[in-house]
Amino acid sequence: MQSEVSSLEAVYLIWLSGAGCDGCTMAMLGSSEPGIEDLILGNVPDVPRVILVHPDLATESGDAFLANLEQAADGRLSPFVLVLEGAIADESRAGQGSFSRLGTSADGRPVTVADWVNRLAPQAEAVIAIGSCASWGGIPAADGNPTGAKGLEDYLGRDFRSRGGFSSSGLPVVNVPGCAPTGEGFIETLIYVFLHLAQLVPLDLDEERRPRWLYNHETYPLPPRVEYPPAVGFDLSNRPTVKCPVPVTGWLRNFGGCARVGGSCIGCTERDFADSYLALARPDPAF
Amino acid sequence: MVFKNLPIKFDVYGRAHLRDEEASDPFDYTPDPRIQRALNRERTLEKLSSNPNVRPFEIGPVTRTGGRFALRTVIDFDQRRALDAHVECGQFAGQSGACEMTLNGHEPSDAIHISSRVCGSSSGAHAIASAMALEMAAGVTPPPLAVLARNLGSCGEVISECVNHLFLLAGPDYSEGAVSRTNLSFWGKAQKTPAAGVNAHGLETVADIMRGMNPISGHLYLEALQMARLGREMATLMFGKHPHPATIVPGGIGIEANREVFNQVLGRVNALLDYSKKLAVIWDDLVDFFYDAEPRYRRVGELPGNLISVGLWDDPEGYDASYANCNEWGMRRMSAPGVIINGEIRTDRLSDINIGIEEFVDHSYYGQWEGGQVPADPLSGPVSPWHPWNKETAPFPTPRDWKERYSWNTAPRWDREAMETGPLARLWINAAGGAQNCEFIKSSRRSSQRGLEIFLPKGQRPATTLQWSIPERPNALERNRARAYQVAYAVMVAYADLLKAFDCIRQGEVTMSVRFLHPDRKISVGFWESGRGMTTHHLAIKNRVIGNYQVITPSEWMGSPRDAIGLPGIYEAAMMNTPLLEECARAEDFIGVDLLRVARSFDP
Repeated sequence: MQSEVSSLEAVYLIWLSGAGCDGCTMAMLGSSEPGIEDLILGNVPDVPRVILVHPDLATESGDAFLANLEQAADGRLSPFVLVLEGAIADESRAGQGSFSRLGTSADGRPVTVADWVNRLAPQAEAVIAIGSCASWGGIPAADGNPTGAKGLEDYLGRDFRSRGGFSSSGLPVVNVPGCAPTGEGFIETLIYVFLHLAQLVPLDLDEERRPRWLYNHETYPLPPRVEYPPAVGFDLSNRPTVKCPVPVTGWLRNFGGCARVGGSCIGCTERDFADSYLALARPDPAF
Repeated sequence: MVFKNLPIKFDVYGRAHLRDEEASDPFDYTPDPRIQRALNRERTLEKLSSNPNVRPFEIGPVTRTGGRFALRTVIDFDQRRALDAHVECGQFAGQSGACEMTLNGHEPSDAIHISSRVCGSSSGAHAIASAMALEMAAGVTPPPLAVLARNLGSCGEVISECVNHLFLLAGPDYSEGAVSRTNLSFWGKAQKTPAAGVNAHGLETVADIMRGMNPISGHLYLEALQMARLGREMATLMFGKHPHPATIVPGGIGIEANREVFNQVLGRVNALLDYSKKLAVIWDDLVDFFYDAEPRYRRVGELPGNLISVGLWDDPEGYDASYANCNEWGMRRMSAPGVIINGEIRTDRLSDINIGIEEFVDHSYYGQWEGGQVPADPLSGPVSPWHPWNKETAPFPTPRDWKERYSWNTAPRWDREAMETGPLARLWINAAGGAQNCEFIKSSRRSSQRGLEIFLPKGQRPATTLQWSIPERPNALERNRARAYQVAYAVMVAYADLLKAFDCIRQGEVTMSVRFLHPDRKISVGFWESGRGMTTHHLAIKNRVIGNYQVITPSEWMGSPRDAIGLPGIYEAAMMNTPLLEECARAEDFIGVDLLRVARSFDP
């Protein structure tokens, strides 16, 4: 594999899967305008060709697959953008075992997703958290889960900066929350980050390091619009807000979209949605 | 006989009883003679390992599978066979165990959202199975159009999963890139072999098919990305979003019954109808070529055929959500339930499937629980202390030890047998059982060979009838071929359901949900399937909240470790004794492509 590529011609995209369900990958594959293949084929003007290293799509397995990660960690595969899907488990809680194995060390110990994040994040031009698990911990960080899972920003520290960007100060973790986020929103963010790395646009993130233009719409957790009345005490004014592009963009190609079509909004783009928002989206069985 | 290993018999009314009502520990498995056989096998293997050409061979991670798998085999490089195999699932959170722990104490309807997060690929199946468990507990039946809408979303999910599997996950191992590296002699032959189905797919030679399957550059690969999106769009139209539905509720579905949304589904079904006509032919040409080039490919991933399906796609007139009637409404599913072991149909009843399930954790990173509070199902059928209703999820991470604990998957078993689930099991069970619930799909018999006929009406391509035959035995290639036919099957189920949905709307039957009230205390179960196979959700409500929630995924059924008896999981069993037909000049060039083909044939 080529290891020296011009930053404007091609960029490696290294995808790690932590504690999660692979649903973000599925959402990403669902985006067609453009699709991930358009980026891989270099079909999008001004956007570098993407060389994708993804555990669900790679042709190689085992050591041959991990060799890509080794090279990236050693600075021999550059430039690259790191994408994490899924949360990072606190492996100290796994005692002598592990919660998220991705390979085995020479002495037989598990190499974990956290180990790879430790090695790869400092080398990456940009680090993107796709989905609520990677952004905030998500479902694996919900009450009852013993893994002590965290989002990437919590894990690396809020002061973490990747190498790329206009200024020498580097870039914070870019969060694309949602369970899953829309595939189109993710691809759009990816393109935007590439354009930024190519010094064509500034990176406009909000206070939670989300792409501002995607997450500037506010909605509320809502019960599904079913044949019985909404939950008792249902009053929008007392509800927490949810920042999410779906009420505007739909789920894909401007159709579908949770509460927009009558489903519930469980606040899946927000921190701790399973513990804090889900209860506000229940259909009312007490009626 | 339904059960051979479990201590359950049936009376003349078909009711299940313990064989020996007086037994103090009726489900004790320690007298099982297979325990000794498994131990003997281990000893034989140890002796064989003294041969310097018998060596361990590990692959971790196994990419292009959803399960974060690693595999460890012992290969006899003289005989070119894998003698032993162990499969690890290396990921805890995101597997069913994590969601089970989170759900304890939650309001029951939260289960739909949290349990769908068990799997990003099969999230619709989990959401529906969860809603069905809640409906069974609450005693409510969703209205007909809601049942049809769920079926349609599920068809989209199954199509999307199968197409992704055929070209993105398993397919690359049959592409030019892989074949010209690992089966070089095949590549020359493929260039000279005319593709029999050229009229259906327009490709002159088998090499053209393989070239089309090259990742990213091949036209079949790129087309599959688009076609899988159509399936995901169908699911999105019904579920509001996919993955992880936003519209599924106990008692129905939260979308509006407008014609436009069903017409949008129809548009996608029409496009997939034409695609499915050529998809089956492409895979027929490919599979037949492999058999012809090397007949031992029939042995790669071969198993005796322990097949299980809970069925899917309910009859809106039949489904009443009750356990008491689950055998009646189960049999009316457009893909019917059943269990076949070694070619013998054991049952087609959902209640038998439910009570036959046990989940073992002896080789998993989980602790054992003691006893259980549920002795029987609601029809008084006895259930084992290892039944999911009695299970407690208690993670117990330890260092990976291939003889002890080595996987985050549990070991689900039916009648104490490892079971294969997925498209091949579904087609087989419907062909053997006489499919009769979808007007476009019939069971058939051609020269003593049973199979299915799927009638695909005219679209842009002419009408055609696809003929699928039950293979001699399950193997890796047949699992893939079955997926291609499953797409056509799901397309025609969707078409049949759309016709019914438009009827409902015309007649003004547009109610999409009914009110429900959760009981104080109840056990229930939801049965559904994703593209990759069956899932069951087992629920116990206590004091109006979730007291226990257990999910068994298709990945656990097949990617399981050894069980209490020592029987290997389906993956493991399929790899053992698989001939390794990879062509490589030197041992160090060996990549284990046939082991990977076996692993990926299950798509866990």
